[in-house]
Amino acid sequence: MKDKVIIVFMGMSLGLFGCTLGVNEVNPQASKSIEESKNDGFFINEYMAIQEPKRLFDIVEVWEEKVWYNKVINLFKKTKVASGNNSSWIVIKTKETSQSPYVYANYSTEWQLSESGNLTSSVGYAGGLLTVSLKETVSFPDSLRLVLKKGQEQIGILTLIRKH
Amino acid sequence: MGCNPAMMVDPLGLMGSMVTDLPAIEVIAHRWTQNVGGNFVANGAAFLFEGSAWNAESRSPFDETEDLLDRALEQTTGGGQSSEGHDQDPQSKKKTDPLGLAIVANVSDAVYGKGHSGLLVQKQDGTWQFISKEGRDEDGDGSSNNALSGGPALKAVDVNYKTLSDFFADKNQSRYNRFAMVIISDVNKVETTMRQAANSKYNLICANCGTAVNNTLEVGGVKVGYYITPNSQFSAITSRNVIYWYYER
Repeated sequence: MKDKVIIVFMGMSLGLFGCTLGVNEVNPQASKSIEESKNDGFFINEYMAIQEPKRLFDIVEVWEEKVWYNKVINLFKKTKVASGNNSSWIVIKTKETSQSPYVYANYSTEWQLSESGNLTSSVGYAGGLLTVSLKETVSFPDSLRLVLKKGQEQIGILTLIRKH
Repeated sequence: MGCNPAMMVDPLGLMGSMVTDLPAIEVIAHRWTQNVGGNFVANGAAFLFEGSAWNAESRSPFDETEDLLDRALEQTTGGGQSSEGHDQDPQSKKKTDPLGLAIVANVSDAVYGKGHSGLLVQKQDGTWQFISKEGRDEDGDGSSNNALSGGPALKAVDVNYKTLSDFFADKNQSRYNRFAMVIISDVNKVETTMRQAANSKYNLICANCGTAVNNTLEVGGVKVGYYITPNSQFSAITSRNVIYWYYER
């Protein structure tokens, strides 16, 4: 009986307050917006995007931020911490609509972005946002050129230019 | 695959159980380890051997794994199924058949020692797609969104690496410390399944990062079984299948 009470109490505690057992503390996460990135102290710089042809993506904002992780403090608390190696990545926030041809749902299977130079280690998604992971030796690039491909065919170019 | 915790086992001390393909592992591993040196672990046994251990700075694992892939595919299919353009640049390499490679990437000390796993899938264009299921979106919708019942998952980490070297050189992935390579029957299906699993509802027991990898590998013809934690799943994968390449760092 005592065991059952303890189990029920633990269950209620977990259910009511949540717990950090399911928190992924391994992979880098992306801020949802420039404002959030600034508030958390990860923001580095804002970028403007030039698309050729125009309106490949409905881009809301682009920024560079320090790579950060969720750090589990205890069973009920987590916090965001910057990566220890001072690495950064560029985050591209897009607005996806039912008319958007390039959305996460068909990413990789139908289209893909890749960087044309040798500045990045990966391009993809994190937290639902496009992320361009910069190599450790690269920071604050004044511009970045991304190639949009559909299969092997090049569809367009996305050029990111640092604002400041 | 349904989620029935009653059917699941979470083996402490799984090592060494259910060895079915040891000869194949030994043969392939022997060839591999002769070339590179380092640590090799299979079926619960650790093999240390001489030679310069692989590291991201000193050599590209991609060249070796490409060669390994060709040999493994020849063994698996009886020849003629390996990727086209053997001598070509990996970027221009495109396989016509979907048989290919996946690497289970594991962080053994994550989440209170229960581990974390993600999956690297080599796409038909030769690049590597890394997909990982994240935790529960605590701010997500759903009246029953809590730690007990689970809730919507955070959007997956889903990134493309031009080469395997790029993954290993990426300091942001440096916590991944155990890697096991398996042959999968259909890389396209496996990639799509992993993406769906990684973005579907999160539940600590039934739909976590490890079960996403687990269920996806089953689709690709890899035997895993019912295990809850990523570390126990990783042990099951390495002990129940032919592991074509294993690496710890």
